[in-house]
Amino acid sequence: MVTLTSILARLGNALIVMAVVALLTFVLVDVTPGSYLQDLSTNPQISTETIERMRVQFGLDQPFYRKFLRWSASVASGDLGYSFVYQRPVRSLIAERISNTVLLNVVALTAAWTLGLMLGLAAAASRGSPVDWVISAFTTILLAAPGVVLAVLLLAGAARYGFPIGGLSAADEAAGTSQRVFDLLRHLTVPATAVALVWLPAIVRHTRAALLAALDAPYVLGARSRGIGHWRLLLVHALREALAPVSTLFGLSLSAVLSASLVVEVVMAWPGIGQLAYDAVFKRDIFLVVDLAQLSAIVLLVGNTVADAFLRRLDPRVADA
Amino acid sequence: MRSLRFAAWLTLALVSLIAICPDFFATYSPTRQYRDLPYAAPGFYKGASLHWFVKGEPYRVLGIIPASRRLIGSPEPGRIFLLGSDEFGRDWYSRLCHGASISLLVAPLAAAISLALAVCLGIVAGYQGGWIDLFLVKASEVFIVLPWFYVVVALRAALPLTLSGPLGLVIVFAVLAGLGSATPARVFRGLVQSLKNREFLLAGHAAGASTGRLFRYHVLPFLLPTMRTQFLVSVPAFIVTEVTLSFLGLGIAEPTPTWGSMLIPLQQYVVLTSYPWMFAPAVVVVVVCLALQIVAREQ
Repeated sequence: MVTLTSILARLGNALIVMAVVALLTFVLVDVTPGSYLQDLSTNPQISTETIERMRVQFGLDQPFYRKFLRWSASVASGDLGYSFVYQRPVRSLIAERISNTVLLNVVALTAAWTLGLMLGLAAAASRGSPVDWVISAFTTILLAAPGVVLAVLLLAGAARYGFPIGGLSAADEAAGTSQRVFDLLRHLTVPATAVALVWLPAIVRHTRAALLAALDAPYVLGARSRGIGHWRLLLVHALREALAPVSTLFGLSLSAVLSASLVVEVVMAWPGIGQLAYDAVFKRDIFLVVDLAQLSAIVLLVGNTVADAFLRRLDPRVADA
Repeated sequence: MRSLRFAAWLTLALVSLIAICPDFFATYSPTRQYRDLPYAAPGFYKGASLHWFVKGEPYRVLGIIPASRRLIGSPEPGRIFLLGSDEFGRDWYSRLCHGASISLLVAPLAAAISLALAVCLGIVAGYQGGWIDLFLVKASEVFIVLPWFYVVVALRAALPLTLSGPLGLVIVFAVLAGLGSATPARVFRGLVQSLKNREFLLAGHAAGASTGRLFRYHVLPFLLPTMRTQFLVSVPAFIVTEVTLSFLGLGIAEPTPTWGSMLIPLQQYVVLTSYPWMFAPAVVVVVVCLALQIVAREQ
């Protein structure tokens, strides 16, 4: 049973994990030699006084624990700090970028799950046939290809067939709405395909394995002996049980959203959270780095919770435990 | 299926051999630039002719034994570019051979470190229980949530600049292996917990067997199959990690080649569209990971 105490315990646990992650990223950022302001001091157009003033203004002259407490207090009050590189509050920066990452992942995950479940079903339905063999060979090859390689190969293909290879849109503001949507979709196709292909093989394999395990269960044999048809067995009897293990993967695919699409975003110049993090880390935009690390921890925790909730919903045995 | 497994083992053996002694298989030194032949397509240049076991540039086997024989070569001034050359006229095939020795050193090493740590932590947490167990479980939660990307960048920046070579990469991977051991450690903890109260262990305990003996002869054999699978699964995972890190510019600095850093030129539009031989490292990574997958699969 989901009780108030269990929810509170979960929440408390998540808060502690987040606090430790924040502390660790803060330590990592702090022990790293060099800073954005230090890089700035090589610019002859900026005086030493200006840099010193900025240092005091952002509290960078304070000892470590003070910096951390100051950051924690401001995050708790909803202020995520200021980005040196972009010269604007981190909150509006993240808000602007996150919609692009969400768009990319919603499209990619929808495609991957639809196609993955269908292929997994097809493979399980025709166990041992050429169809099963072809699907299994296809997933094995995809599984062996790192995301970077997939992204690069897709880029090469896109370049050959005249698809845009990077960026969010090319249409100008004056263009009509339908034209701009079409342009966005054209730009979305290649990165979304890359992210989808990263997830597809795992989904197909899990679905197929879970379905086959369910089909081998005694109750399915019983149902078959009562004369229930092949497809009804597969889609009603086996699928219901197979969904429980598959739902764990679904939660995982949600929780890994930021890290899975990071490489694709960087390679394909998709202006999302992953690309923002990549730039922030290299330019030592410290508040942005710490905030984004915190964000990815939150996404992970939420994804795990969703996976748990799914499992409890689908499998009463887990819910009672 | 059996012939496929055989082919996979053969591929892995060949690649390992190349990784152990890249200089013998490589035609040239990986950093030697032939600036008059940039982006040369695969082939023979300047009237080169194929010769076996030729004397080439001197090198050292495993960094110790001096040698100068190379598998193939051509008398001067001919050049053989089996897989073309890059923008500085470096032989792409030779770089691929040398990249193998770094990628295939780092990945199994990290997998082994990660496995050893996971087994130790799993046994301690699962067998001891109590507050040690609680602490390790909570710590693993943090490690699973910690974004590895930030850790690597901070680590790279924190390491002294003199450590930018292979040693730096090994340190980075040792840390990644430590972080990555959190998930398998939980698996082993579960296994050990399920074993803890089995009769044969209690009997061994009652017969006066020491804790070390119980682990060595009664617990470890139960963990071995899972350990084997875990290792074989994590080697390709760490190869992929190396490729990703180096591609993002977090690996070894130029001119040392790794499979990941050899993909960097593909970020240029011209290379992407006009020089197909530059895709060779991508193909090699996929083939090696494929072979590892086939080997890892149960018969």
